[in-house]
Amino acid sequence: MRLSTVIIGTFAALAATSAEAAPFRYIEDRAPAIIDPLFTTTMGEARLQELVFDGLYTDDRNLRSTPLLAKSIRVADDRLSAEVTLRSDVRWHDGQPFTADDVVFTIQAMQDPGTLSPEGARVAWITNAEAIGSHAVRLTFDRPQPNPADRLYFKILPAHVFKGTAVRRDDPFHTRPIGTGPFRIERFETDHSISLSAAEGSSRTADSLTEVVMREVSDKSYQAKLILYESVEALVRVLPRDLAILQADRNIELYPYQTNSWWYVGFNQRAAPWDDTRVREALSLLIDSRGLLSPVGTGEPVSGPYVPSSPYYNHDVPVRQRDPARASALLQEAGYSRDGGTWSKAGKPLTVRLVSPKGLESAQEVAINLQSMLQGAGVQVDNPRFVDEAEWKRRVWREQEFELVLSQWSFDRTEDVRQQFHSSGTRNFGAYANPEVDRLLDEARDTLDPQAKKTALREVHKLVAADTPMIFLWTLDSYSAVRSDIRNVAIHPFYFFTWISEWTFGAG
Amino acid sequence: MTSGGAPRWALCASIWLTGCTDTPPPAPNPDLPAGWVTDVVTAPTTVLDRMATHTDGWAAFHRGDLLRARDSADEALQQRARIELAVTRSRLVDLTRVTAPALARAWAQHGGIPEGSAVHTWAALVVASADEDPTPLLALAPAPADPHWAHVHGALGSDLPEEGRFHIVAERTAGPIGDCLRAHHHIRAGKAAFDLLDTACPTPFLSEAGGSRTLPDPLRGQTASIHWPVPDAPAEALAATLFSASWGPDDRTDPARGPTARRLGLGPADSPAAALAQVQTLTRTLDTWQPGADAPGARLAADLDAFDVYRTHIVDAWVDTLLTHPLTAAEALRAARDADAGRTIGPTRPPRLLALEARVSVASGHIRSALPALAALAPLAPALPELPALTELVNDLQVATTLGRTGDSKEP
Repeated sequence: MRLSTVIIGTFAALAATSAEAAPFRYIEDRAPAIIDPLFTTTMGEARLQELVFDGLYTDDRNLRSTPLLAKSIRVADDRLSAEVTLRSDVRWHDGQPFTADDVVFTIQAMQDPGTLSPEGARVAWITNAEAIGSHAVRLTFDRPQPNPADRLYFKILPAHVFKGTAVRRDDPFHTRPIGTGPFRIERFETDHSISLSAAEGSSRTADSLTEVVMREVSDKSYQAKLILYESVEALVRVLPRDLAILQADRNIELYPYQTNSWWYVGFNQRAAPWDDTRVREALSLLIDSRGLLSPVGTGEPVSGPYVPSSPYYNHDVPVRQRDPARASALLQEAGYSRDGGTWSKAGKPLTVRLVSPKGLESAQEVAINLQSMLQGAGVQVDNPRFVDEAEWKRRVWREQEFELVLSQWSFDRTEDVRQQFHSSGTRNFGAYANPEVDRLLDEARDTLDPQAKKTALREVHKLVAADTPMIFLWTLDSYSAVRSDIRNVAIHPFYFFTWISEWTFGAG
Repeated sequence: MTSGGAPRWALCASIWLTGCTDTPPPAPNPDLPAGWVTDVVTAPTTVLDRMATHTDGWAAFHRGDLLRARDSADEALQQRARIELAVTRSRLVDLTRVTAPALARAWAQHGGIPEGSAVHTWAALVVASADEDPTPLLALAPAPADPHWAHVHGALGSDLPEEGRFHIVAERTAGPIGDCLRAHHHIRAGKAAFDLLDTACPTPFLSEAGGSRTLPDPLRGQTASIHWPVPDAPAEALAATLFSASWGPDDRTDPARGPTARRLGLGPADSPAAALAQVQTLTRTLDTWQPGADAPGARLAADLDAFDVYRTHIVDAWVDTLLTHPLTAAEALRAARDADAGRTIGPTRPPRLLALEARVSVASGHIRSALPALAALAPLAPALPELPALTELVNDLQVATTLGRTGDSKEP
């Protein structure tokens, strides 16, 4: 009953939208909870921000750094500083001019401990930012930077709308953002739809698309129908089982969306029993990851924190196979015994409490199968909890109030896992710490030798796999679908909408 | 489009060959050009008879298992498998030619070529071997510290003619690298066996920083390609064209520009939009060529994915003519890609296409996209032993182009 209401409501809303002047409508599994680059944590947020905000630099179609809000950069001979000249023809969506103060403010806000930005690491290498003119900034670095432009992709915020550099997550800006990007937010609705319109004076003018509508449709099986029935123009992620039917429709184009993603079950290692490597490893040995994967779709199991085609994937580390005998030995070593069919220690049963973000495709199926596998092996499993975006961010990101999480990480082409596995990482929710991994991640960050980096990170793969801060599950093929009446479509391999200003509607 | 057609097809073939069908007599569509796809549709027994004694081999060929097809006792099939392997290799050679200089440039730009290193000289060697000008690469860094590599550097930097550069460099270079280059040259000239490389060339080819920085012999693939050129196609028309870009005999000389390709709307394309439009036209036209359910070979055509297999191969041949516009070539491959075919080699993911995809990805700057294609080719390493080292080179290029970047990661 509820689902049908949602479906009818969605059709009605989309039909109403389509009666107006040709909006570009796309679907996300989860609507962004926040549109503030300081607090971005999800792919959906990152995609939406690509429409609204700009960085100083961005990728061109050949994935080379190209100026966006910057005009040019002059790097000092010692490569410890650079002067960036900014464009003077760009205005914020509220009509205010974009200036050097905005760049300085953004860097300071990201670095301000009062902001608690999960994106702070992206500017940690900048030790000072100062305006040296209305449209010029000088940046000073913590170490020589061969190509600082490559690191100036973070989104720039409007200084004039904030009271100080310590920005709160619930600042009104998070639902009324002002950017310099090709689209401005028109409506941020309680029904989880977001409407945007082409912005004047922006850095990238969208010639043809005048309106964009993002709509949340959490029922993945319903998404394919919407694009087949021309109720939307694009699906960000197509379910593997829908690929054949969408491919057969000659009015739909499929685009590989290579986000280098992998699924995992992560442990909170702050407390027992998950602070014990033996218990984590034992749990991983009770899981048949291929068995869990089969209902999800075509994919490839992974043995560590990279996808198998990554330069950093260590092919000498095998995918862990289910091995109940070895798991039993490890649990006994860790002080557990199997009384009455359930593993327990000091009278306390080994219990798994799993939380997962609502809207993660197939997560319910995976969690239920996982529950069944573990219960069959003598592990008590509470019913998995699927929490909304706000609760996920509170429980997992801010308060680390969880035991196990089932989720997925997506990486841009740098495939940089530092934030997930360095002891100081901003995405290291589980408090994983291994000094050797820290050292190797530091080495990989600092080296200028690609082979040394590759070697270091393959070793990270090996060490992390052995420590089992996560049970590494699989990577899935990822495709997006766009109706073929949208022309000149090119999808950025991570941010999706980077080149949307070149997309056009209709023939020609 | 499915990747799992081969086993069904093998079953289908056995059913056909035992005559367990009462399909009506052929009713050829007069609009279809003569050729293998038309034969599948209108005269399926002709096709099945041709493969009757080597069904497993042809099934292997159909799904891109070239090693198994090459081992078949059917000589024509062996030839076809060798051709596919040779074409795949030649594309990997081309990928090496694109990757090696890109790696040296990326290394210089993002990290700086280490003092005394021969990385740029190594890349210049690849360029010279392809008869291109090596001097811009030599200028990326000073001459290497290693005297042997310094010698190579000097030879590459001397006045070289526009053609035959490699021969002259091989003649002018002393030391162990010179010995290796001369071995390559002798093999290419047909004066020595290929395994001379095993004794004449150092392994690893370039080793620096106490062995922590190594680069492979980048010339092996090219030398192999010259030593074992693409064989001639079988004389027999059906065996020569089956599961290929040549719909019919008239297409064999140049399928991408042949009469069938022209009828399907393929021609020059100078932008991604133009490439997409042509693939869309091709697909829609092929849809109209699909047989009705009552056609005698309708079921065989479906089980073989005949139209999709042909579409894959004709796009492959056509994209090979678009390589001067990498983004255009990439869009053509994207538009024709069988998204439902999985990650491995298959009927609509033949090895030659995967090699082309990797080459186009690197040339368009989307280097990370080349790596899944190379990973899919891994089962062919026994026939293409240069493949693992080439994959590592593309890995190195991917790492080099992202050195110093701040990574981004997000939850779903």
